[in-house]
Amino acid sequence: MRSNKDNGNSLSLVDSRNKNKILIDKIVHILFLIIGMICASSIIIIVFFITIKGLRPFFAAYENGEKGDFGSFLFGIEFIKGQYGVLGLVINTIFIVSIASLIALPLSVLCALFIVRIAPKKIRSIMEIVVDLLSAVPSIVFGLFGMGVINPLVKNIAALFNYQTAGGVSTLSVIIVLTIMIIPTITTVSITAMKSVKEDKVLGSLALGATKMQTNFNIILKGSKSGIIAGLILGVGRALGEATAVNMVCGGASGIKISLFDPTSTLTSAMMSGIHESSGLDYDIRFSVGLVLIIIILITNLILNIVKKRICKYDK
Amino acid sequence: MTNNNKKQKIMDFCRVFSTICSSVLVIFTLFSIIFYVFFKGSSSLSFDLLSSDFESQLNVVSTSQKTEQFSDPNISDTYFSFSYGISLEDGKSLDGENVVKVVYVASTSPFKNLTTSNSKSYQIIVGETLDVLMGIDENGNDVYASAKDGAKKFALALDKSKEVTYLQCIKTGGGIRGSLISTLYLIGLTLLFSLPLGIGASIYLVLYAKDGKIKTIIQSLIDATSGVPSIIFGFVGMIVFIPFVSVFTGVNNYSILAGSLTMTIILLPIIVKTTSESLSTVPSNYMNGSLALGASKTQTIFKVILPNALPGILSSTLLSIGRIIGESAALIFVMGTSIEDSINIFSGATSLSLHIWSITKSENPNYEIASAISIIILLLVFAMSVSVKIVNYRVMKKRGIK
Amino acid sequence: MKLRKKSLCTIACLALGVLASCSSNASAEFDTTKTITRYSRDTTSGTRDGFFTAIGYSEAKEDDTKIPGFVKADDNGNMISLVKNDEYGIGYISLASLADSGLTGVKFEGVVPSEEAVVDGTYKLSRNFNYITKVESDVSEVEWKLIKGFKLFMSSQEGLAIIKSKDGILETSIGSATKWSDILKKAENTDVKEICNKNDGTSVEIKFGGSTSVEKVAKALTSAFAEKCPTFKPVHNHTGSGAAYKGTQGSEKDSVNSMHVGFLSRELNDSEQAAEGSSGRICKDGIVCVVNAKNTYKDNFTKDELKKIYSTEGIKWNEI
Repeated sequence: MRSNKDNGNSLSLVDSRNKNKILIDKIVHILFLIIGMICASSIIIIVFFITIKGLRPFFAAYENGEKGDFGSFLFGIEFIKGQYGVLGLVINTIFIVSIASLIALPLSVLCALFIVRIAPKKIRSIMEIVVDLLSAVPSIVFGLFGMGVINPLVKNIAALFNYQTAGGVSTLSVIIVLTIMIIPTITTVSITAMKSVKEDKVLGSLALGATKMQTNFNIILKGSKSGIIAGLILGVGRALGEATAVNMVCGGASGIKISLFDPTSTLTSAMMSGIHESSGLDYDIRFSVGLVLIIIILITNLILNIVKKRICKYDK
Repeated sequence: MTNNNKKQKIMDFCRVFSTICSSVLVIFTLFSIIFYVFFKGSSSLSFDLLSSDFESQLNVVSTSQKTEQFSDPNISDTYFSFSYGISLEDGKSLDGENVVKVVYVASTSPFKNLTTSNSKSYQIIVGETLDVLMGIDENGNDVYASAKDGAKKFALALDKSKEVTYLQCIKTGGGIRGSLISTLYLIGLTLLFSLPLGIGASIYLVLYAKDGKIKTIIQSLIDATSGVPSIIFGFVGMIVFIPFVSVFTGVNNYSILAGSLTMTIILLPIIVKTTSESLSTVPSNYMNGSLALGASKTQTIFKVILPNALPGILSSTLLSIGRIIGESAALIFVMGTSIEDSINIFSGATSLSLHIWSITKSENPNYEIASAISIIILLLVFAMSVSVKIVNYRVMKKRGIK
Repeated sequence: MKLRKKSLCTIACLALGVLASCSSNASAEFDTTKTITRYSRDTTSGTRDGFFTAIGYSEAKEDDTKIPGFVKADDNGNMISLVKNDEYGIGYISLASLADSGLTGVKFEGVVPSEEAVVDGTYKLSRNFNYITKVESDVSEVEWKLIKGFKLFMSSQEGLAIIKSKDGILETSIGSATKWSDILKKAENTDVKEICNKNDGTSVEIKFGGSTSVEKVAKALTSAFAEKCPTFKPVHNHTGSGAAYKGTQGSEKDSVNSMHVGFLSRELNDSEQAAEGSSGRICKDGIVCVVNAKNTYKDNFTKDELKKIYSTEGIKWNEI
């Protein structure tokens, strides 16, 4: 009996120590959970505030009797003071981004293929560094480069076609800048995807008599499809949301601008231009444009994800 | 058969060629960006640019002619004032404005012994610039001159004035010292907020959360944050963080603090992703071993798992620093665009990127300086991305050998 | 080996191509059959206000639809770089920034834009630089003293000399103004004198903003005043004339964009009712209609020509 009790005593000592430990563990667990929650809530804060502020122009009354009209906001073409129509901006943005990603996609896939399958080892590591560095170039530097090099270049190209530009600020400049910006994004993701294609598939193809290049193009590209599309999704997201560089080369004209050599404006450039000096409706409406931008990014992501699922359905 | 073979060969060649072309194009763009920036900016890049203030420093002095006439040192392209013993030339300040520069001061010149308007003694140094001269000539008439008249007229006006009642001696500005410091503040503050949050969240996701609804929700919400464009973050910063900071400071103002809070939510997904990856590569038997030896989970995480995940945390830090240096769209709305010299985290300032933005949008945009700052930004950002590579390479090597 | 050769070849080809496209057309003649690209500032700009008022097209001051198909320049710097890159462009900037801009300033109604012509009134394309301050009840006592001191300094002999040195155009001679030291001696300015003599290392931030055209003059004035008055610490953030009233007495006087003194490169308009004594004129400035340096086709514009250019979309150079 006695010894048993002693035993119980020492056990309870260990127990209390353990209890302490377990308590600390629990507290730490909850602490980390809270941190996780905080991190996760940031997106909710973003969406919440942008929505509130973005819808305000259509409900609030402004000092000088201005009021946003929802219909003319959604379907208006011109985005100028007193007449805020977002449709023109949306069309310009989608037009520019789709052309930029159509150019960037093949270029970056081919580049990734070169890096993963074709280049000798030395060139491969150099190329990987080049892609890395290009993806690290900040957008403000792209903007400067666009103003100093791409605008004059576009101006001269247009002059070759006997077309007059406004000093090169044009849809085409924006497209070129965005293309350069998203190439490294797509390339990096594609490289990872291509590296993970199983070697036995490649060997099988070679054994069946396909040449090395046929194998590279058919087997590797097919095998990394979903990765490439994932890269495209990232790239398109970056292109849609890019503001600084676009603002520096786009010029700022209102209305639908499909011609490659005319100045244009996009959702982000309209949000950015002159926001520090505006107030009232002119200020709040930019948040509505931001809301539209978020919605467009969401929709494109959804569409591309559906495409990705469709294409990769039969792969596995 | 041979025909077919030939076709095949041509096809293959075309394929190889296309991949080479696109790779060359990528190299070409990178190098043309680097080349352009260096070509345009290297001439303005100097230690002076890094170390001097943006605002010019101004001293107002008054002095009067001595009886002595000075002899001209005859430096070419300069104009000498005989009665004051000072040589002036036309020059350009760091930010490209036309200025009148002092290139020589005679040792007995009145400019060696000046009094400022707050009655301090002051002597002019070679390299300073002069502007806005007000004086009185021997007949008692007023004399005026300013830098825009050029060095020649300025020297003449000096000679004419018997007494100089007002003269601005300016150490010209245009430097980026303030922006460099504010970039450092921004990096420090942002890492202070974002690293604990990001690492904490990834510890929860990798080591605590059981597979289930909560984990997926948290994971996907954090992932979704990374798809938000930075201009939206800027807008959110403007309507959430600026008012938030103003609760403490009492002034509704742009601030570095608000900027770093904004950068924190931009960086969270990046830090969570990189740290999670490195946490999950720590072998699970480390955890099991430590637990079996009687350590609590908390002890295990802080003493065993985290040290092993350190390289991953380091590379996420480096990535974050690169991103902070390059970010512009978000910060324009929360830190403002006015360039400051004395930096305070509760008031607005420009990071290096914002400095470029501010320059290109100013009255007389100076692309040389903008490019010079771009060189600095590129060097820093490239250094970060190369160090990430090195860290990763070392980890791979270590793991490989083990 | 083979690979390296191929890549070298492609690099060379690319470089050649780019060079070729860059160098072509570099020395082309000015082609008058080209369309005029019309650049304009945004509606909050004072330069825009002054320009369209002077050419008799005030409808376009606040209304973008009156200048169809124009390209928007966000600020003066933006305007300069846009017109610099475009042989066929036309825009307008402040006379003060013409000299450094590398653009050609065109005569208006036969008069060369110059300081003298603005002063004697022969050059009609001009506007005033004005300021507006917060009202006394919105600021602390020290801030108010500093604002008052700054206003006095602007009108002193030193202040006028500084304004002139930064290309501001004065209508009165510098000599006729009072010296700063004499201003301080006046009985009603003892409060200013007291704060200016205070030198205990503390400083109070006074925020300046408004028009970008006035920025150069404003910065020169504030840094000179800071030298006279150690407590005074100026902070500048210039965006456009529209911000001046809003930030001092209007809807944004308590927001991030608030400022103690705002500058305008135009007159206050009807919706901007300034409190009495809180606003005033600094100096005059000319507006210059600018074209690219390569454009030698026109060296003179009349009011009606400019109005026609800005009101007609797709107008060509030879149509005027």
